[in-house]
Amino acid sequence: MPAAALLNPNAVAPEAPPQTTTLALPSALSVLGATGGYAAFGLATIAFAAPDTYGHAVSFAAFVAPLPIALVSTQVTLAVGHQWLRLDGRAEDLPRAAAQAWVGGGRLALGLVPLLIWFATTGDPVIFQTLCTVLSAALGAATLVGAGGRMREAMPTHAGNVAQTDLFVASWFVLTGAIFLLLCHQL
Amino acid sequence: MIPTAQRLIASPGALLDDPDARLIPALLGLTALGGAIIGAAAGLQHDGLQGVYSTIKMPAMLIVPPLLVLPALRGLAATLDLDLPLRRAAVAAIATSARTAIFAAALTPVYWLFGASTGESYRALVFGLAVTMSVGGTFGWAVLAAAPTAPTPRILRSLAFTLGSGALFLLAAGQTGWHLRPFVRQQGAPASFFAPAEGDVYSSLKARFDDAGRGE
Repeated sequence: MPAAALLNPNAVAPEAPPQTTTLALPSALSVLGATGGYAAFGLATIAFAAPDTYGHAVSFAAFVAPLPIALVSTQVTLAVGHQWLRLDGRAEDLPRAAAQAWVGGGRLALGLVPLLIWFATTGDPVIFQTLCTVLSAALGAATLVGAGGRMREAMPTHAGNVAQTDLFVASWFVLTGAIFLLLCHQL
Repeated sequence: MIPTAQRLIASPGALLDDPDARLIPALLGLTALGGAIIGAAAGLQHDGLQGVYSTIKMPAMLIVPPLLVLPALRGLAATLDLDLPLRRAAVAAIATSARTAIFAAALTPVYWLFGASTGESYRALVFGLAVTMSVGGTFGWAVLAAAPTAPTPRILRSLAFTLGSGALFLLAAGQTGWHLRPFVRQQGAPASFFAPAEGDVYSSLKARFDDAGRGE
């Protein structure tokens, strides 16, 4: 026990600084790889599910575009929410969390390509289109969960109370998810 | 293979933490053996030749899905910020199939008795096989759930990985099984190694549900 505490047991111990995780910005190479992963996913769906010209454009946009748009469009909300809830983490960690999750999503998209090819070559075309839609929604959901989890680790509050952080991450998740689904529906 | 099987049944997580060079061949052997047992049980209900075909095909049905989903498993872990090195992911994917095969093989007597009690009806046998493989797959799934690690507890993301990896395995195994059918010979039809390529497992399930809805 420290000497000061022995002399005055009622003394309040200085609050330990909250544990924060500093997030790194993804490297250019990993961003390039993730873009390639999303493109490969989109191209696999185009090649098998939508072999006409209009389908090319729509499929690629529908499967590749909404996710980064949804992630970027919530950056203002991130800044405001960060200030309002007085979170201790650095504001720049929030877009970095989203960027890291987006890069991870690109790897997942690339990893799903063998499964898509297997289904396209052995299954029914109509069901394949449905499967593509389900897989792209699952890809988006996994990316959002990954981003939210990273944010939660990077954003402790003043007193170490995680409830505010959870509220912040849950609000972001709902908002971004709604934008993602709306964009998917529009496209 | 016996010590590997014991470790795989009792503590699959420890198996992933401490893999040795002979682990993957042992896991593949267990998958082939378990698959051959359940395949033979399915095929031999009606016909000896179909039994031979199913004994050959069932191990393939268990070995193809881990190969298909391995890249996606690593991608899912990366998305969710969980650690899953390639070697650990490969061992986990194959161990999932091996554990599925062991538990499905253990259920073979139940499946056989179920087939006998339903008069060896084709639909009942196919349904019983699907249930047996699903029960075995549920035990195998536990290996996948234990695969990723993280420096701090990440409950929600671990849960998302467990659900996502299970769904991926289910998709891959369902379609692989459909592609390699028949495992049970239909009464009146000749034994065959492959059925004609048509539709997929989900179209077939939808048709069955539609039939049930119309009371057929």
